[in-house]
Amino acid sequence: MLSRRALIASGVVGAAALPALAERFADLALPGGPSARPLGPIFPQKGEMIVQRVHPPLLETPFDVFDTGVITPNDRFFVRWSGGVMPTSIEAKAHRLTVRGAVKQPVALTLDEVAGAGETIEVMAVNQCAGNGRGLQEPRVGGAQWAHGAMGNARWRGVRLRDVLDKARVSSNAKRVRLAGLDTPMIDGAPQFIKSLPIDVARRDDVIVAWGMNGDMLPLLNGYPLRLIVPGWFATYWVKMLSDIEILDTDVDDSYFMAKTYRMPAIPVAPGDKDFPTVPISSMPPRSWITSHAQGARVARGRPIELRGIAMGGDAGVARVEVLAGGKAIPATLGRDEGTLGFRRWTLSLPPIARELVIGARCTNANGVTQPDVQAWNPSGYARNVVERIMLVPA
Amino acid sequence: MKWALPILLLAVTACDQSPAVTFTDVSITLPEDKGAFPDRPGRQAMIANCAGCHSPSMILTQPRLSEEHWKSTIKKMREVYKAPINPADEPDILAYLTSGEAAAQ
Repeated sequence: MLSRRALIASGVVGAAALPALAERFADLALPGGPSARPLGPIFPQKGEMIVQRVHPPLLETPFDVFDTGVITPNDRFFVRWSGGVMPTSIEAKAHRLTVRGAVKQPVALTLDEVAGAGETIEVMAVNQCAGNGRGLQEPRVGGAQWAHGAMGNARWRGVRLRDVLDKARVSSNAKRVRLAGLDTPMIDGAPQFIKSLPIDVARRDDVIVAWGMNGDMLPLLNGYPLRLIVPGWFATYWVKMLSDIEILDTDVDDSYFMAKTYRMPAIPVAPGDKDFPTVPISSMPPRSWITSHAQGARVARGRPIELRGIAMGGDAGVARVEVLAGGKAIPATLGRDEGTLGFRRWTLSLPPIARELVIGARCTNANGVTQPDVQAWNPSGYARNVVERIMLVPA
Repeated sequence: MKWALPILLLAVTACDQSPAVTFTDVSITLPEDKGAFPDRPGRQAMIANCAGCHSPSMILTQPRLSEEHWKSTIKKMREVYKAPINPADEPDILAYLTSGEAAAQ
């Protein structure tokens, strides 16, 4: 049964007052708008998604999906392609992953050679766009106007990146590992979407070159045949359709998407500030959401309110989740740890309320980092992790 | 980076065996974009200079942003992404981007 509440929670609203191009729309409730997004067209290997942009695809996961479990199904997993040309077909036998640069033996590996480069492992981890929630930051900034759905959690299957690197016998003076996929710039001379990781991160035990996602192969829109998985780090490093790895012997990567964008202010800034120092965006902070109730949800008087949500610790596990309500921080019960850097379920039975109540979930991770009540503004709308609040209304 | 080793060990599950993975050819057809720039002054310049590389929705979903912001976006599209934006169309493009509600349909 689809209740009114579920309808609101899913962000699905009537199309009457909204643009008349698709039959169904989501209302993302972005401050100042525009908030209506079509739930179509449907993309290959995907179910119903919030279509932020058809070309190149920007598909957001409808928020109600996050209430269904800690795993985000492949066909509801968000999709974000940068401004280039993404291939729409993969010929498996022809695909190569090259490893070159500061190596003793450059290699061009077939997919079978990649899969055989080491032990096959599975890692659960949250993949989150650096700009997730950008559309909620005020004052508003330009860019993809995501609500909360530019994230997802999956079990990724593949081999360790370091086992792939070792095929090329990486030099002892290696400093960074630069990754490229098959997507190319739209126009000659524009920068290619390449990213790099410090060598110590690249060689981590849980950084993998994945082909599997939640028991199936990666959907093409999520990077088939190979995608880099960097648990705890923002999705910009999770290069899709991975095809080239260049080992750098310098700490400085001056490529565009490292040196000029995907960067955070190193000092507090205000709208309009210019020429401040910046650092590349990297690891994620803790976050949490209430998924059982949406903003303005009506709750029965005199009855406890069964709250449910998800949390992520960012670059460490979830230590605790509290629900902030009426000046109190009430500890929530954590669900099973299914993967330390994945989503974690939490639940809480809140006492009955007699009047409107604003509540929010707050996660603290295993490193002791807690979500802030107020978050500093940044000009790209990156790394949102402020406590997300909703109002409950007794009915 | 403050990485706690025990957490990493927990996060990684070695599979009991390594069943062979089979990579198949995959081909998809992306849906057609039926979105369009609403009709108001400057629309032709938007179609001619912007819609070749990305959907109109990339622009139509933006919040109300300053003329300075849009000028810097045009500059970035031209200088970084090499978009062949006709300088003569720039006033029309700016007028479109800053007129009405960004998402007025």
